[in-house]
Amino acid sequence: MTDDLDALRDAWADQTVDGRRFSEDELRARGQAFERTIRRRNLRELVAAAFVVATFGYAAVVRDLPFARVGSVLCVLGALRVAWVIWTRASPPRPDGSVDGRTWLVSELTRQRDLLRDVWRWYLGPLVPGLVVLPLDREASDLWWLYGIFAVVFAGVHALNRMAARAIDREIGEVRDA
Amino acid sequence: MPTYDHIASTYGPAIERLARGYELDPERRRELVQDVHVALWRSLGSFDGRCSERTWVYRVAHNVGCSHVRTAKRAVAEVTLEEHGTTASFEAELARRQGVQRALALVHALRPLDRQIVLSWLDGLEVAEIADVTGLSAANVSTRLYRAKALLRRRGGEG
Repeated sequence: MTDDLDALRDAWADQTVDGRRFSEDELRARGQAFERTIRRRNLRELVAAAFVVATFGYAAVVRDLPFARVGSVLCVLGALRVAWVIWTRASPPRPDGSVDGRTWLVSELTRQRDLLRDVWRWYLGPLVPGLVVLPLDREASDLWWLYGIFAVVFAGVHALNRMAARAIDREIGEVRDA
Repeated sequence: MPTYDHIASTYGPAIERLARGYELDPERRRELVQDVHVALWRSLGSFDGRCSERTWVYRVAHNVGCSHVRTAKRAVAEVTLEEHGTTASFEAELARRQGVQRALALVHALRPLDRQIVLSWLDGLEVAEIADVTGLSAANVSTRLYRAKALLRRRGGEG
């Protein structure tokens, strides 16, 4: 009985491997490539924020309706706030051997869960003041469906993120209880 | 403090074997292996001897592998060792490699900590060291290993 498992371990150890080693230049380049991927992801989101700033910045200047102007300025400030959070967002921590497998897994899951759970605070919330004020120059009868659309979209995004966060939370619980 | 060259020459083959437990695609696996080497190279400065060198290396390899699997997000339904006996199946294909392929099939369907335990055991680590790598108690590791071995034996008999 034990012999077949011993044979399995022998077969495992006998697997053909490349035995590749890497120069420090290769390691440095690979590490930098990963960081470039993170920066590119952040840049895409910053470009989106810049688009919002440009669009509403222009509207704040050309619109002559008071709430449209104030709302546009608030949208610009909201987008700048989101851009700031993205810009200062810490890179994922690097794995090192001082952290055992369970601790590492819990910390990674927690980080991902918190990002999802806090979407309302750092991504949706800053845009709300501007979107609330922006349409106030319109007829009252127009406002309810506009706000309704905003509310549905924002609530939907928030709900999806919270659902994903709860799934990760369950996983964290399983790992902690392991 | 160990040097990167020492780590690479001593544990290079083990890192490649462990990577097979996290990535089946050869190209992505090569990148994963390189990512593990990068993580080791970067973190060597913080090795303080509180754990063995081997534990350190295996922790880094498993932690990088674990993050790789989560990033890849390929929809493989992961199960616990208790569930695996009723849901998974292994196909025997190559005479000498049948056991390794079945072991890999088991490993790739396991949740992260169980995966770390089975991979580490396959690579020759004993219970105490696996406990050190994973952060689980030795008793917990023993129980999980017992289940894993039973599964491997059962699948080996079916193959």
